Amino acid sequence: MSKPNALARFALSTHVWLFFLFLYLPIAMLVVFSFNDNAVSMMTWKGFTFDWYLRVLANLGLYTPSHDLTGAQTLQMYSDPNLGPAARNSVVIALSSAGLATAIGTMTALGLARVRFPGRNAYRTALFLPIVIPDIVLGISLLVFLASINFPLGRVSVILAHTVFLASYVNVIVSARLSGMDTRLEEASADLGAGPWTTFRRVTFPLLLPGIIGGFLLSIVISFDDLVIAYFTCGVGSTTLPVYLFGAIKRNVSPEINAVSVLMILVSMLVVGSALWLRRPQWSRKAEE
Amino acid sequence: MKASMDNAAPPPPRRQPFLRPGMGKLVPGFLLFIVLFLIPGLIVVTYSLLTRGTYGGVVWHLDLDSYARIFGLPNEDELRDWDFVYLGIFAKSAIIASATAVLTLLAGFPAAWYIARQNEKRKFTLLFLVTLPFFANALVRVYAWMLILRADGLLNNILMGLGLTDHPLQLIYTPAAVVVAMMYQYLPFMVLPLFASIEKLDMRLIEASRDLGAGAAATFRRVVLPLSMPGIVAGLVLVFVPSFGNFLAPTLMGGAKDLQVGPLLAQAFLSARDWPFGSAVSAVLSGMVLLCLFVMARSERKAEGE
Repeated sequence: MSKPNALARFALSTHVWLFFLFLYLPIAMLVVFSFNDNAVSMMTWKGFTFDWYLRVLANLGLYTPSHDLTGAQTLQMYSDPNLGPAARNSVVIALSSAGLATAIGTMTALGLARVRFPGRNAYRTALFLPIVIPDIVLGISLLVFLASINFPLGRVSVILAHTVFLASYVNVIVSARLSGMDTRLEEASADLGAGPWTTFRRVTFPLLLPGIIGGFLLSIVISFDDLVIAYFTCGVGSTTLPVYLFGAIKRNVSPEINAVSVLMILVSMLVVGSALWLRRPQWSRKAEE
Repeated sequence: MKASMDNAAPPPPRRQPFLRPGMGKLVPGFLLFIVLFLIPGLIVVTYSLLTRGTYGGVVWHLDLDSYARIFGLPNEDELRDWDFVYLGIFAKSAIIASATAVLTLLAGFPAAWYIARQNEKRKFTLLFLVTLPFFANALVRVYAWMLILRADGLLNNILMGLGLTDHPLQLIYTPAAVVVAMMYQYLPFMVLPLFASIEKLDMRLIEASRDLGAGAAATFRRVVLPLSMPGIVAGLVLVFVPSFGNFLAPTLMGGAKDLQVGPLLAQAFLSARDWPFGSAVSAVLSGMVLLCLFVMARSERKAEGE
């Protein structure tokens, strides 16, 4: 009895190890090779260098090279003036669409939780559609719509496009928070003489805040990550970072894109890490106290 | 009907007006949903029923030819015979997405099982580790697999370094490469619902089954599998749906001969500029996705009812 059991347990833990290797090795490999000092064949290890990162910083205008970077003769050719604007576009779009979506999504969640009206559940279900519909369908329908009303493609169109589905995400997150909330706290506040606005500001809002911040941070990451919807709605002048990277990967110009990729992973992981940390379960908070 | 929808609510004391205090909060979200989701969707459905203009755009002439083309029907006016090329693209996408979903299930089930058997703290940590790579940029994750599978990529370098092959193998630009990239993309969509189902599973049922003389295989088939079915169905659907309409993985890692629905859609709008046809593809794709999700929701409701 114990022998096959031990074997099964060994097989299971081997599988789990391989599973996590599969999840993390590709990213680890990307990080390692972003430091590879080989301008010709980027997947053949030659030596360690920071130069690809320095070059990204130089392209972003954050650093002036004081020595010859790897592949210096070809630096001019590889040096890319499009990276800086793309990064700026991505940041502006992520922050504005996440801000708008957080405001709109939170209001929707509050309205749906506190007001009863005919068709409420149907509307609640319909609000899932922007999340579940394939991103390419959403991007194309927005492209067709914007083209048919002659709306210029640019930062604004991407912000609007992102806000539509991000508001649905925020609604889901804040609704979950609201449904776990004790409504008696609001009733008590009202009984003690607080007006609706005071109750919202002093009771409801502070209780919802972790959900709202979580939704905002998640929205930033989703917007920052999105290629497909931005690809169809950004037009020529407002390329975002993923759209820029998509073009660079297709042309396969330089190992510099490895460094850009790693920096993008870093940004997303930092934002998501802090969001998940804010929503960590109760036991870990107790352990800290 | 209203009573069944809001059955948790106390019965309304009297007929209320449709507009109620507090509904103002819903206005911005509602406008956003109508203007930037519903109307664009309806425009796409409308375009799918129109005729293509000579220089792109559409002509306001109602016809179903775009759908006829997708389903391969002949059209005498256009001198077109039976032609199942687009149905083939849909079928190929469905096969690749199904393979992705099934392989993700095989990889994810033991992992979800293992995680569900840990203590609370380890559960949280492991689920965090499963979810974390998902938030690395999707494009970057596909790119990482391109670096691994390319002709001069990591895997070929290793195989040639070990002397297992003397020429680079064709790994990228194959359906298998697309499947691996999409598995990598959507593993958390499988593991999380599986975990939720397995965690609820009462271990005493397994012990009871073994005590009554059932072997491991029989116990798995008769006890574990049926009880984790809602998680399995949810995981399969949640992986199949985004894989089916995927744009990134097939565009960057698929072979030129293996066109899939996502890239077909992009081509119809960006290079062929055939908006009615692209709209029809888009409508069929959305219809299939909604059907899958409907099936999933029904199976969940059935499981809850039992």
